[in-house]
This record gives sequence, structure tokens and C-alpha cells, in this order.
Amino acid sequence: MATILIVEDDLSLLQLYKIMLEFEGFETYGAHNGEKAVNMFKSLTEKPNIILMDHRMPIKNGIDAAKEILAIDYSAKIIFVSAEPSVKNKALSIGVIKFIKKPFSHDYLISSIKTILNLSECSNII
Amino acid sequence: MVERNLEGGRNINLGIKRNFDRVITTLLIEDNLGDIRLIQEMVKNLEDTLIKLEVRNDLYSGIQYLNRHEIDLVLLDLTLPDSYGLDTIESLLKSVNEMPIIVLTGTGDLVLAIESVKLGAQDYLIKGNLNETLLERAIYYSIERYKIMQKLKKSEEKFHKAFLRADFYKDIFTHDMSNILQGIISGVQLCNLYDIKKIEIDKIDSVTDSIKNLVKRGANLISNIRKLSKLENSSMIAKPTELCKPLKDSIFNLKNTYHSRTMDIKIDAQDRKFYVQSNSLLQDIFENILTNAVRHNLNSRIEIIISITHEIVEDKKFIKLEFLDNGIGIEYSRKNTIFMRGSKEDYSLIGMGLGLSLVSKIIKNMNGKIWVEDRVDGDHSKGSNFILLIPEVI
Repeated sequence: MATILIVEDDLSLLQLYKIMLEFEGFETYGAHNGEKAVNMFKSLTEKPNIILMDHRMPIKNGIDAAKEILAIDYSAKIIFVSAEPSVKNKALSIGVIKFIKKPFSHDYLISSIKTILNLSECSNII
Repeated sequence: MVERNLEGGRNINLGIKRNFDRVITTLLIEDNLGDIRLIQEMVKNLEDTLIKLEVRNDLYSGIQYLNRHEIDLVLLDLTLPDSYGLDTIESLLKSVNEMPIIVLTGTGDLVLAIESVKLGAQDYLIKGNLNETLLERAIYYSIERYKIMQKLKKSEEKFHKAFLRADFYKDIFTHDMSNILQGIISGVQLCNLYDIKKIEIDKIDSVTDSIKNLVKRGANLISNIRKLSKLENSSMIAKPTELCKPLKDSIFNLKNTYHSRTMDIKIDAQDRKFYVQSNSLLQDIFENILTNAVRHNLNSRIEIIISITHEIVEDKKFIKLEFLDNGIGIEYSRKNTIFMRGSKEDYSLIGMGLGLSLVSKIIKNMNGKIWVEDRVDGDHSKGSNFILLIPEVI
């Protein structure tokens, strides 16, 4: 079963993402700011298959958290989620695998996650 | 710089002089006795003049004089016993509030004169070319130009503030509103999924509750923006208000809004009734603080203790309210800034909604105070204690 680390400071959104992704059969972890996400990523022995990362968060924003996570493990698959299209290029340039603009539909998120998971399975086979 | 058009200079001067109906007090900071005498004579010879001249011989005594007297303009020599060149004008501008300055220089110092204007002088006069008409004209024009510059500066500040506010509202709509819409769309799709697959029907209720809460959050956001803008544009009148009723109403509304969450809210009060000097937004304070305590709480059981006591601070009587919650807490670095969203761009303010900024503005408006501490000293992760001081009615 694939695991997803959800990083979102809005607790009602974090909760809804969790219910939604668990409903689709994923195992989830939640972090409500960038710093907590980095610490959680460090502490997990089994690294999550996908990280769903919000951008504007207190303490540490999504770009900084993504940079730190990618510095620990460059193969980490981060899906960046933000209402600001202006951060898309920045996110992609640091190595984030996909940018999704808020608000997005459930189907789009799930199909993006599945595509990334399939791709990484292929690359593992190769 | 003043145009050196001497013909007709008196007529232009007369025109601008009509704007002045009082004596213009000018301070001459100059150490050369010959130059002082010359300028004093020129001022004396001016017809119908409204210019009064004071003289100081070095920068230090000039600044001292300026700090104690109302002066309209400074005539400043740049070669003084205690200061030389551009340092003179810089030191003067540092020590006194902005004011119109005319720099006096020698014939060979044109570059210095122009640099002085760049630093903030209104004009320069070259001592060798000085005459009464030029002096009078430079004084009146510099004061007028200074006034116009001040008006322009004020207007720029006003527009800058308006720009920041527009940017702040844009920020609210891109960030906060998108999150609310995201929550609603996710919630609706989740209900559809439950419905299609005919499983976990019992969970639909809690998801529809979340959707309702998000809609309420959107409505609160709009209402808070409206109230913030009202507070920014006018001060509200404070009058004696009983505090417990709006507090209990807020708790009732909170439980109604978040009825799917388990809450334990206790009031620990010294008296049955407390009267504070408050504007009409007292209930908004309580609702925003309480909503915040619920929104930023991951526990299955939300605990809030509200303590109300009498407190004397610096000989003034206040009612002290403490809201202790078991939420996710606020890190040390954010404790001062969480009330400042909209005042400056700072990522640490994101995620706190607009509520606390509004609360802080309302409290300030009624001469109260608000700050936040850890519920358990030194461990922010155990929850927060929002402390309010509201002036008591004596």
C-alpha cells in the first residue's frame, strides 16, 4: 500500500485530504507546517511514496521544506499544491515532480498520484 | 533651483508672498561675520518684508536653537567651525525634523550645492551672486516647495497604504478563499463517492458538517474584512458593556457551528458580572478567539478554560480574560506576529486567518491589550493561553 505524507496548515483541509486519500486506499501521515514535515520525513524509516505539499504555511513554507526533503532524498516524489500559480516554476525548478493549482478536483489529484506511482514503479523495474 | 531671472523677480515674489500672512522666521547658520552682516542688510532692505532673521554661528548651537523654537526655514552655510561640506546638511537633517533648507555656498562649490539639493535642501544660493530679490524669492519659494513636497509625501503614504491593503485583500482571496473552496469541493466529492459506493454512509454527516463549517468560515472572513475596514476608517465609541452575556452567546454559537466536535468549555469567573468599557464588537473578539481555538486543534476532545478576573495594571483597572486551549499551540517566533496579518507581508502570519488581526485591532481601539502565552510554560505544543485586558468600568 502506498503511503502519502500530507503537509497542510489548514487543519480542516488536512483532515479532508486524509479521509479522501484513505478512502482511496492510501496510508497517510499529516504535518501542519513545513518544519514538521521535514522532521517527520527524517524520522520515518519507511519513506512515504508521495508527499503532498502546500506552499504557504507558518514556520517553514512549502518551497523550503521541499528543498530540505529533496536534499535528504533526491528521489522523493513531491506534489506541490498552491493557490498561487506564481510559485509553479520555482517549485518545478527545485525538483518537485508536479504542481497542482488549488482548488483542484479529487479525480485530478488521485489520477496524478497514480500516474506518479506507476512511473516510479516503471523506473524501479528499469 | 531658483531661476536667476532678475527682471520681474519682484513681481513673482509679490505673487507668492500673498500666500503668507505671517512673519517667516528664518535661522541663518553662518560663522562669517561679513556674510552675516550682508544677509541681515538684505533682509532689512526688503520692502514690505515679513521675514525675521535669527543667527547662530555653528551647527551645534543652530540645532539647539531649532529644537527649541518654531522656525520656518534654515539658511545654512556648509563651512562652519564644527562641520564641513555635505556632513553639515546630513547632521542637520538627522537632528531636526524635516524642514526647508537653503544652502549657502561659495562661487566654486556648484557641485556641492547640487549634491545638497539631492540630500534634501530645497535650494542653494551662491554667496557671491546674492541680492535681495534672489534671497527673498528663494526663501518664499523654498517654503512653498517644501509644503508641496510634504503634501505629496502624505499623499504617497496614503496611496502606499491603500496599495498594501489591496495587496492584503488579494492575498486573502488567493490563499484563504482558495482553501475554503478547496475544502468545499473536496467535501462534496467525498460525499459523492460515499453515495456512489454506498459505503460509510454514516461518515457523510461529518463531511457535510465540515462543508457547512467551511461555508461559515467564508462568511466570517467576509464579515471580518468588513469590520476591519470599518475600524481602519473610523474609531468606534466605547461604552459600558456587560461581558458575560456576549461571551456565553459566543460559546453557544461556537458549539452550534462545530456541533460534530466534542468540546469542553469552562468559565472560571471571580464574579457573576463584569462591566467593561467596550465598543460594539466585544462578541467578535470572543468568537474569533474561540473559533481559532477549535480550528487549530487536532484533539478529539477540545478543552477550553476561560478565566475572568479583576486586574490592576499601572494604576488602571482592567478585566483580565484568559482563554486556555489544548490546541496545536503557537511557536515562540510567531507569538508577537500572529495579531499583525495585513500590517506586513510575513509568512509566519499565514494560516491564522484574519480573526486575530481583527481581535487585536478591536482591543487596541478600546485601549486594551492582547498577547499569547503557552498554556504550559515553555512547551507551545500543549496549547495556548490568549490573554486579554479590557478596561473595566469604574
